[in-house]
Amino acid sequence: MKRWIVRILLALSLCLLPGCLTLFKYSGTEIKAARVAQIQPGKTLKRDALEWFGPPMTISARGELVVIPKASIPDNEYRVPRRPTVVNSDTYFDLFSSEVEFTQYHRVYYFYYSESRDLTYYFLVVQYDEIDTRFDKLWLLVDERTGIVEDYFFKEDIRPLHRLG
Amino acid sequence: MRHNSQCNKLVVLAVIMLIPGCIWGSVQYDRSLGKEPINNIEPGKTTRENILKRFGPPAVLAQKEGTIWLPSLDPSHGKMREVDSKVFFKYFLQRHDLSEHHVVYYYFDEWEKVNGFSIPIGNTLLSLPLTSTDLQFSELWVLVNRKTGWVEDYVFLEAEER
Repeated sequence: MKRWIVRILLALSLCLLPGCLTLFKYSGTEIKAARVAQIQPGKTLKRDALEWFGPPMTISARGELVVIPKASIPDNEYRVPRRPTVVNSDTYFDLFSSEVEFTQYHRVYYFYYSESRDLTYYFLVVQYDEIDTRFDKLWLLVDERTGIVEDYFFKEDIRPLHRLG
Repeated sequence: MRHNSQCNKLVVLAVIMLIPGCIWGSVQYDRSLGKEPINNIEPGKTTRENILKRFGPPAVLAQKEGTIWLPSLDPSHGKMREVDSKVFFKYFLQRHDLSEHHVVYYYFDEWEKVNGFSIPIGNTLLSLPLTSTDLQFSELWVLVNRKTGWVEDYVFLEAEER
């Protein structure tokens, strides 16, 4: 066999070796459960909460449409382009409706932290690509007149991200 | 002669590199519903608080009257559409005597399923026209009586593949 054919076959066999690639992307500031447990409804100040959790993704009054930016996930060229999600802020206020009588000074501060993993597995000319995302979310009900956090709701996503197989 | 040989090598290599490959996979976004069974919601026993604790705030909180502004289900368009809130009560209208205390909490999970062929070019993949990206939805409607705080009914439509 000609030597150059052997070289190409050798190069090709190297190219066809199975491989695995993992990419991570993160959005927002990490929300630590231990820190959330320190929130004392009616006592914790808004400025302390902002120091702990960073700037919120959104701040909303009742009856507003809230635009929530999409979490950052690893890119690839076949993905459907993503637009921000829009929700009515009343869904957030509803979290606190049994505890608090709302006034015009109440706002909901919404924080999220997302972790996205792109796991790609290559074998011969086959590629398997799986992207999974987990979110931790925190909503704070703040009275802007007093600067006090009156209540909070925390939803931690404790499940592990997908593993191949 | 030697020049021809070099060209042959390059052509063979280029052809090999352009062999289309098969690609498949999924893209999972926010998972409100998760993969756990939904059927442990028990009308008359599960409370509104239980639902909120488990799933968080709904994507839509529908009152019996009025309209709701929703983003398009196709995330690439991003246009808002005004929807009669009765749409969210469609599964419950026949089965319940609805009052002004009834609301519907609507949740959905979405993900993309990718199948197709691609050509590796450099460190990216060029999708061939046969590649398709399908959006999949699982949806949950929960009928809540806000006066009593009980869940009175629910409907869960699961996408074919999760």
